[in-house]
Amino acid sequence: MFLKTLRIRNFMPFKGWHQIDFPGSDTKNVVIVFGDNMRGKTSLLNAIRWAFYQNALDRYGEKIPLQKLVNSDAAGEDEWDLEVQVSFEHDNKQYEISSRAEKRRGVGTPNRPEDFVVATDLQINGEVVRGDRVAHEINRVVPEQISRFFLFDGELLQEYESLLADDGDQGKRIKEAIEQALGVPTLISGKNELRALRKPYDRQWQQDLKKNQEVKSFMEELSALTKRSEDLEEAKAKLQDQLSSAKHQYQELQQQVNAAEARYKQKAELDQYVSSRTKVSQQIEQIELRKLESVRDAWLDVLRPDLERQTRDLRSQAAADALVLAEIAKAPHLREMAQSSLDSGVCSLCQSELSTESRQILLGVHGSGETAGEIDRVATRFAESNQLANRLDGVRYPQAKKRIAELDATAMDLSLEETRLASEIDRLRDELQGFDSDETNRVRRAAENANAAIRTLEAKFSQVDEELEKINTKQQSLRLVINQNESAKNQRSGKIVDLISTAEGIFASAVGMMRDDLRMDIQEKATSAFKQLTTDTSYKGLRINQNYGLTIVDEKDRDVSLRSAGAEQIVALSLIDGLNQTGRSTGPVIMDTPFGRLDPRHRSRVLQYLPKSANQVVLFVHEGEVDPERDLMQINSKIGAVFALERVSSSQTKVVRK
Amino acid sequence: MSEPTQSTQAVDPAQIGIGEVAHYNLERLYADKHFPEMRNAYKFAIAYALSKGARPTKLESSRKNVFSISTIDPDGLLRLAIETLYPVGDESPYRIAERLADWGVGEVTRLVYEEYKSIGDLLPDA
Repeated sequence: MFLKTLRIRNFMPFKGWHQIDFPGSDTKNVVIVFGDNMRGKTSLLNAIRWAFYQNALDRYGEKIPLQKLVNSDAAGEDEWDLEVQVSFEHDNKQYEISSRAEKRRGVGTPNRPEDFVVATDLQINGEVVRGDRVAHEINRVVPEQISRFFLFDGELLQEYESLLADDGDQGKRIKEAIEQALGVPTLISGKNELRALRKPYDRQWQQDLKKNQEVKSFMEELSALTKRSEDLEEAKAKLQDQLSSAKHQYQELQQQVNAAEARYKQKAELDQYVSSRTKVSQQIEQIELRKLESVRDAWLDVLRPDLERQTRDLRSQAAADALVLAEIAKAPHLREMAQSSLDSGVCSLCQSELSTESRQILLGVHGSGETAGEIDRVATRFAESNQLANRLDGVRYPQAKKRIAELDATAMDLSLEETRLASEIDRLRDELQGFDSDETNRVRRAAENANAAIRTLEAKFSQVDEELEKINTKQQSLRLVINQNESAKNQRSGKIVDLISTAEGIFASAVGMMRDDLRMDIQEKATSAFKQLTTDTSYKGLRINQNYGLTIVDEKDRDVSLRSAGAEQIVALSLIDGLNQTGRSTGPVIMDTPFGRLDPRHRSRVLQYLPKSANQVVLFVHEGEVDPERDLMQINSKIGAVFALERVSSSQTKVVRK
Repeated sequence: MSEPTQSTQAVDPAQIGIGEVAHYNLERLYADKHFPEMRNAYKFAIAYALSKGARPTKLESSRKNVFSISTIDPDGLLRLAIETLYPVGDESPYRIAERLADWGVGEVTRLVYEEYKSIGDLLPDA
């Protein structure tokens, strides 16, 4: 199987039509789709799953109700229909699958899956496949049971680690899923059907031998055991019904709990945003206070140009006065020069005409009646100018304008952040409308009680099963004893019972043998993958346990008990690869967020291994787990296309080819 | 350049005031957090008037005492600025300050509330 295109309409965050074309190259067989959290990576995985099996799963492996798959904006416009089309090639044939869901006529706002009409069309080489054959044809190419291995959600990797535990619900569930996918239940149901087939012949045989006195006591014992066995079968059937009902109830409750947990996560996110916004608002308030503080002495800045100009003028005046006073202090000949200058009206030094002011100064120099007064006046002015200039020089200007500009720039950045946070808070509040944490706690307790009830029923079920097994063994022994009697041996009914019992034994052994073979096969394939993925060369491989859990084995064949989170993920990825290759011949591997806990070296190993592990690899990742530049360089020659999931709004995403 | 003088004839008042209208605007500028305290707004208004070369001869509305001199000018810088930049003559610089503040508050109020300027906008570039 080789994917060619995926087209989706109104599916989860994808409003209207969106398309991904998978490149047809065998060598460039990796497609990367980048998308931040909440942008729709898992929705794309679900779109493919839904096209094949009309089934979409949430992060807890629970089925998402159909009405929740319709894009909320489209639903808001009363467009309650969605469609997913997948085209692919398999065995040189072209397959076109189109799955659609439409609101049932007469339904207002759909609130349950039954409010929709769902249809899947399949064309092979352009020929329409009959409706009742569609599911069969799809399952022939991509069996639903193994879809969890090739439509793979990395967030669920941890589930596979629970296989290492000897018991536990999750491990048991995964084990059942693995065995289901690999065909074990076929043998088990064969064994059960044989047992059911044997019962009427058993009764007939006992009837036939009623009058045989030699085996009478054995027959009575066998009859009693058969009666007890029948009672137990009846009790077992009842327990089975109760268990199914309890499991169904638990699943429904768990679904609500899971949904609530997602809401709790959102609630925590909302609280975080609210706290961040409060901090940002406080920072903005602080900045406003600091701005206000900057204005306190800003009046001095307003006067600065005038006061500084005034200071410069005072300094110039003082300098000129100092010059005059210095000249006055010089020798008496200056007086003569002054007299001469005064007499001629022309300066003896520079030959320029005397100004009134110069004349006044020279009069002082000459020593006329006004000389002493003039010197005092110049000296006083010199002192006052200097004194005032010094005081003005001492003024400290706060330079408020610069400070306010810096604070404004910071406030602007904070204000943008506050707006962004406010919009996230609004979005989350909208999404959390109607969320009631008390109700959630009630549901959580109810789910815990239902789970406890299941455990009790399962324990009773196991007891009944064990007793039935003991009775069965005892019955077998009694039959052997009875068959020693010639007359009993020749009864036709006895021969049939014997034949069916033998067949039952064969099936029972076959189940064990098949399990062992599967385990060895998976261990071998997972070990091969593990050796290429791990960065630690001292590891010899992996060992599988009864639950299909894998343990790392070191070079001395010892189990490695302590594993890092990254190593756990590598082991789980190896198991997935082993299961995938055991379950089918070839096909694409589509993985959502598979690199979550890997360090860069392991990430690099996985990126290099994946193109070799399948004929086509599609990875839905975020930039935190795969660096678009550095990581992709390593497999550049294998990359056929890169897409990005870009946000249109909180409820819409678009697919963009990079 | 004005001749440096020291006015000694006029007696400084103990209180300094402003016209009633300007006082209302002063309170408004403070209440709207354009200034940390009213006295900062008062001195800013005086500085603004001085920088614009304003020579107001009277208050625009009836006078109201607002601050004591020791509160408004503890370091004497306001007096120094007025004496340096304004032809004080025989008048107390604080009486001149009242008229400058009265005029300045009117202008600053107009710029802030009618032309949507911030106080930072009214400051000269450094």
